[in-house]
Amino acid sequence: MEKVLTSLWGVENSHKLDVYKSHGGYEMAKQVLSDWDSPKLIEHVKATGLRGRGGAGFPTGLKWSFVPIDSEKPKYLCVNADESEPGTAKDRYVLERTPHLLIEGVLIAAKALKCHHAFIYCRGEFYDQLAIVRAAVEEAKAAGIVGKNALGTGYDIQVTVHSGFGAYICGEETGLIESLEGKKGQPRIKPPFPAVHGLYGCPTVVNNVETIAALPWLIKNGPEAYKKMGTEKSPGSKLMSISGHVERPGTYEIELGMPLKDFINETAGGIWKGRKLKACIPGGSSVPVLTAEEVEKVNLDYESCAANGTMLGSGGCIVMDETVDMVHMLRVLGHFYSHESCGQCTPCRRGTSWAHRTLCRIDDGEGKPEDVETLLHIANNMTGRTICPLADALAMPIKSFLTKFREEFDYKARTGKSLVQPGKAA
Amino acid sequence: MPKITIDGTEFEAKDGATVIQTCADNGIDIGHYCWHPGLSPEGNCRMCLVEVEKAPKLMPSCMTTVGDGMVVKTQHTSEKVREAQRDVMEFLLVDHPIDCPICDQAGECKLQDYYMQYDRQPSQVPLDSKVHKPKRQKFSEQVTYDAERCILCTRCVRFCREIEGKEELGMINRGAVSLISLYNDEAKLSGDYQVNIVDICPVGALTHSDFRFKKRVWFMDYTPSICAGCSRGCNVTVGSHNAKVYRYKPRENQDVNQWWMCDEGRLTYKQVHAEGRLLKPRLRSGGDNSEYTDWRRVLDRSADVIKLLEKKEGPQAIAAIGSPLASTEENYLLKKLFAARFPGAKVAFPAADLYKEGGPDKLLKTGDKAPNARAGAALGLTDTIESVIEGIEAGTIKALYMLGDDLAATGPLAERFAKAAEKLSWLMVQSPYYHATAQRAHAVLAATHHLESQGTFINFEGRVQRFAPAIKPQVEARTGVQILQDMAAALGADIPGGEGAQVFDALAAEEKQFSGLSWNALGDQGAKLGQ
Repeated sequence: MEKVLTSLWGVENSHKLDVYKSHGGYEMAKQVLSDWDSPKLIEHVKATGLRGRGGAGFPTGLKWSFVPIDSEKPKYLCVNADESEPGTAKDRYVLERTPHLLIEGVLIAAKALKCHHAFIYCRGEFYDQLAIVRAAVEEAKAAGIVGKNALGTGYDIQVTVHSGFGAYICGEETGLIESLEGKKGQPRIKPPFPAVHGLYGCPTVVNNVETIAALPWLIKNGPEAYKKMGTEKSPGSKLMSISGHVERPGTYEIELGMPLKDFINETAGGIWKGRKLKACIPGGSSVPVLTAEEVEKVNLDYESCAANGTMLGSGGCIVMDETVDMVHMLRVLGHFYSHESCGQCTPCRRGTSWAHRTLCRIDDGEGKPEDVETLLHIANNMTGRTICPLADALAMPIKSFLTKFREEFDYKARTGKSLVQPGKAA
Repeated sequence: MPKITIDGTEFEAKDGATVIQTCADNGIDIGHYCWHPGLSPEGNCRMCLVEVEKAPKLMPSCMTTVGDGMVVKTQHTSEKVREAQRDVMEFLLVDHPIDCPICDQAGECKLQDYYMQYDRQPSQVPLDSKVHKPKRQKFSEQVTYDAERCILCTRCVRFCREIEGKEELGMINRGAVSLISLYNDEAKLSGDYQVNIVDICPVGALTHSDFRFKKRVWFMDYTPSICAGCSRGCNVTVGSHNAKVYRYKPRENQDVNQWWMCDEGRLTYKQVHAEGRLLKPRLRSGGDNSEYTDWRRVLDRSADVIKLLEKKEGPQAIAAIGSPLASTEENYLLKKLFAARFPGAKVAFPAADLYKEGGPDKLLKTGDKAPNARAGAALGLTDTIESVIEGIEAGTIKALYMLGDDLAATGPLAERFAKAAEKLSWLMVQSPYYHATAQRAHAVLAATHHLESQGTFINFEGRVQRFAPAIKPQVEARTGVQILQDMAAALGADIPGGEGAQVFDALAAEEKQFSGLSWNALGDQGAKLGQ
C-alpha cells in the first residue's frame, strides 16, 4: 500500500523544513496556489472521495462545497488539532513528525476555500506538539511559504497556531469556534452551520489534521490512485491508533477496509501474554463496543463498522483482553465524559454525572440490582436530546456495554463482586 | 407570512419568528426554562423540544425558525415530546436539593410547576449522593445566589449582557459542577436593574434580599398597579397580605417597561408603610402645632373658615395647587371643586421640573420622580406656583388647598413658598405624608398612598394607566377622591361622586384630551391621551 500520510515517519528530522522539502515538500502547494482555482480543487477533492477523519466521516469535498466561496466575508479554515478522544493518538504524530505536511495541506485547502487566514487549533495538553507546530509555521513564514505572496505565487495566507486549554468539547467544531473566539468552549446550535456562519460569523470550514494532511498526496497522485486503496465508499488510507492489550500498540496507516481481526492480530501483533480477546472499541471511546465474535466480522471502513452497529470514528482502537472488568472499564469512560461535559444542556450536564456516579456505586460494590436499569434509563434519555453529541458519546458505550456484557453488571450490582478477576486470565 | 401547523391547527406566523414565540402568540403553552421573550434564545434547557415533521430528532422550539408549511407537534399531541420533557425534568432534579420548604421561590417555581405537570416520578437519587455547590453567594447587596438550586438556564447572564449591557455574570466550570459566577471574587453586580434577574430566574437560585424569607407567595394577593417611582409608570404586580405590601414585580407592558423595572422603583412600595405616613387627619388647635382629630371636625372647621374668608375677601382669596404625585382623578376633582365653588380662583400645578433628578438613563428611568407630571397639562391646570405665591405675598390669597407636594421643602421656590405660607389664614394639605409643608398646615387631610386607592397616572409619554387598591386604606386615611368629595359636600359644591373609576369616566366624558377613553377601555395596559 502506498503511504499517504506516513511516508516520512522514521526519517530523521522529518519535522524540519529542509528535510520535508528534500522529499518534494511544498511542490504541490506551489502548483495549486499558482495554477489551480477553487472550483477545480473542490471537484478534485470530491472526486477522491476523501472523508473527514475527525470521526463523522463526512465527505470533505462536499463540506467545502457548502461554503459560499464568493461571499464578501472572509472565509476561515480551522484545522482541528484538538485530538482528545480516548484511544486516539494519530493527529499528534502528524503534528510531531510532519508538521509541514499539515501546513502544505492548509495552503491547498485555503486556496480551495479562498481563505486567507487559517487557524490550527491545538489541544491544550499537546504541549510539545504545539511547540513543534509553532516552530514549523515560523520556519515556513521565514522561508516565504506562509504569509504574503506565499511561495511567490501571489496568494496571501496567514496561519495562526492557537492552543486550547484542555477541553475535549473544543474538538467539536462549533465548540472549537467558540473557544477560538475567546469564549467558553460550548457547542453552538446548528443551523446555522459553520460553512455559512462560523468563526466571527463568517463562512468557516473545520477539518481534522489527518484530512488536511492527506491533501498534498491527493493533488500529486490524483483521485484514481487514491481510490485504488480502500473500499468503494471509504477510499484511501486511514491512520489507526491501537491501544490496550496488544503486543505492539501504536499508530499505523492502514488501507480502509482492512479486517479488524487482521489489524489486531497482524499489524498490532495480537493479544498480549497469549490471552484471549474479550472486546474491542474500534473507533475511539465513544463508539459502541464489539465483542470478540463481532470483531471477526468487522472491516475497518465506515460502512462495515456501521453495518455492525459501531463506528470507525476517529480510529482509536481500544483492545481489551479476557481479564478486563467491563464495569470498571465503563466507569472509566463515564468519568471521562462527565468530566468533559461542557454543562450547557440539561440532559448531558446531569445525565453524564448521574451515570458516572451510578457506575461508581456498582463498581465499588455498593450498587443495587435496579441500578443497571437506571443506567439504561439515563442513557436512553440523553440520546439525541442535546446540542452536540457528547451525551450520545457516553450513551452509546453505556447501551452497548449493557447489551453485550449485561451479566457482569447485574452480577456486580447484585453481589458487589466482579465476574472476572482483573489481571488474571480465565 | 409563513403558515405553520401546530398540533393539527394552522396558524400564521410572523416572518422569522421562532416556533415557541408563535405558540406563545397563539396561546399554546410549551414548557420552557431558558427561553425568555426579551432575551436571545440559548436552547440549553431542552425543555421546549417539539416534534417537527421531517426533522431527524426533536427540535428546541426556541431555536427553530418557522418555515412555511412546517408541521409541529408539541407536548399536547406528541407522546415523544412528553417523554423528553419528563426526562429533562428528571435530569434537572437529579442534583436539586429539594429544599422547597425553605425556598422563597416555592409556589412560583417552574421546577415545581413542571414537576406536577410533566414528571411526577419519585426521585431515583438518594439525597446524600447529590453534587454539592456553593450556597448563599452574595452577587450584590440585593441579589443572593444558590448554585444548588440553579438550573443554569443563563437567563441572568443574558439579561446582564443584553439588557443592562454589562459583562458581569458568566457560567464557569464544566458539567455537573457548572455554576453561574461573577468574573472575580471581589466583584458585585453593579447595575440599576439587577433585581430583574431574580424575577426571570425560573427557580429559586436567585433571591432578592428585600423579599427573602418575608412571605410565602401563596398567601399573598396580587394586584395590577403602577410604580410611582418616576414618570415612566412601569407596570407592576403588587404582592400583599393582611394589609401589608411585600413587593413589586414588573408586569409586562411592551409600550412602557417591557418585562423590566429598575431596582430603585421596585422598593418604592415601602413608602406605603413608611414612618412619616399620615394615618389620621390633623387640625391646628391654636399655637403652631396641629393635633390628631377626626374627619368631621377637620372638614367642618375647614369649610367654616373657607366660607368665612370667601365671604370677606371673595372667591379668589381661595386658591388650590394640584400635584403630580396625586392621581389624575384627585387633580380633576380639585379643579371641579374650585370651578363650581370659587369661580375665578387659581388652581395651579407645579412646573414639570419640580421632581427632576438627573437625566434619563438608557433603559427605563426618566429622571422625573413624579408619576403624574402630565396631569396638569392634560387637565388644563395652567396657573403657576409663582402666581399663587405672588397672590399670597400680595395678600390677595388667604386660603390654600394643596394636594400632596412638599412645596415648602422641594424645588427652587421652597424657601419663598415656606415664607409665604406663614401669611396664609388657612392652609389645607391633603397628603399621605406628614412632611414639612403638612407640618405648617392648619388642616392636614390624611390621604391614601396610591396602593390604597383607585385611579390613574399619566406617564411622560401621555399614557393613562390604571391602578387598583392593593390594600385597604390604613387606619383612618381616606382616598384623595373621597376627601375632595367630602370637602365639596361640606362646602356645598356639586362634583362627580363615586370612586376613582367613576370619577375617571366623568372626567373622560368632559375633558377634551381624554375623549374616547373610559376606565374599562384603559384595561391593564393603559391608553394614550388624544393629542
